[in-house]
Amino acid sequence: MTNCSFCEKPAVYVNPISRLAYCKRHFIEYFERKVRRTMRKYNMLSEDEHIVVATSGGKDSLSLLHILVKLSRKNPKWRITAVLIDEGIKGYRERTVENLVKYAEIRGIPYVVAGFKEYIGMTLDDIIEEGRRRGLPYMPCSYCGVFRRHVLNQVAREVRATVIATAHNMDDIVQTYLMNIISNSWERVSALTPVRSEESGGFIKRIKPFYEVPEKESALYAILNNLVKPEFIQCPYVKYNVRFTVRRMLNELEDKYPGAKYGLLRSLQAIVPVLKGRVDSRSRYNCLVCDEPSSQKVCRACLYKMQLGLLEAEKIGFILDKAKSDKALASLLKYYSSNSNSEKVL
Amino acid sequence: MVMRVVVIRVKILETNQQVELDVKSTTVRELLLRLGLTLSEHIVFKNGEVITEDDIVEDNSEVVVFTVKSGG
Ligand SMILES: [Zn+2]
Ligand SMILES: [Zn+2]
Repeated sequence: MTNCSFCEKPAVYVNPISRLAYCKRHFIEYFERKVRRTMRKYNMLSEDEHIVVATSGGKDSLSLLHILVKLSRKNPKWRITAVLIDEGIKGYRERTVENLVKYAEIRGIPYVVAGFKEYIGMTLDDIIEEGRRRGLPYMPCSYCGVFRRHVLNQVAREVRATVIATAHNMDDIVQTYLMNIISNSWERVSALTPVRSEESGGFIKRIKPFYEVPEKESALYAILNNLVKPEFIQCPYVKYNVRFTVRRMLNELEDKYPGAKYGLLRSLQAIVPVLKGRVDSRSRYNCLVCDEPSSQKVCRACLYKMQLGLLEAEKIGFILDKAKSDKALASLLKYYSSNSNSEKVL
Repeated sequence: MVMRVVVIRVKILETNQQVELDVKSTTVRELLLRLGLTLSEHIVFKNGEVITEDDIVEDNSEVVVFTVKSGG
């Protein structure tokens, strides 16, 4: 039996880098201290905030909700709303929705469940089928990521949030970093910061309080606080996902060289300021169709909707009309209306 | 005299597999390694309690291996 480095109790976690062992109580303290430190270091939250916590009902997001709710007791001017985006994935999402609803109802935390069906017009399952029928070149995770972000922004605006907190952990971030290096997408690398805030209209500040938290730690925090049961639920579309391979590779590397993932995070933090001014990931526009902040004149969610036949005819007419006198817009629309373009795998 | 076969029983939640390891005692680290599972992606339980990779598992016991993956 391994004992805690700080008391005599049995350990539940050994930090692979420092080799310090933690019992349940000391692990929870260590975890919360680390997250508080991250939030302070990057100036994530001020005294007066309405925080939308993006939750999936999975371990990371329930851990995030839990720690923010806990901290809100000491920050009386914080308001928290949990938002769950229900993509409509049969046999998968129902189970995690239940986790969130149970958690929120017991503690009286306001929550919103927003479905792709209402907000986009179709469930993700139907979108994928429709996309295949129309010969669209996108992977399931492309639709999901774009639409999820879109719906989350919309809901956050509806509830008048001042900030959106997402549960991306260190593993998610270094995986994305590596994937974007492979696909040479430096504008996406430059967006991988712990805080995103922009001047453009309607952009709600986004924070990642788990930026420096390894996935194993956030999972353990969820388990030790009884937020989730140790059962394995996985999105059925994950097998089509490049991340799947990248994550396996990174974890094998980490096992051999403890600290490798942390090293990649430091590498990311060193490169972002270098990229500043050279690549542009800012949302300079407001989408002509939906008014959400976007890096193009029409946002990706609206372009996908157009290709899937989910955009009203009058809206399509409106942007086509605009495109007559706007070359950039015209070529954007042309790119997205031809179905033969081969999708980038990542 | 009857030989009694004692093994370590491992339940892997991700693949819903039951594996028996014919060893007398092993650390959790070695156990995961034998099964081709990474340390950074797995949490191991014994008798419902979380144990660390430095802990030793003896034969005639049962452990559960939980894979930590982003729920998405
Ligand atoms: Zn302790
Ligand atoms: Zn739009």
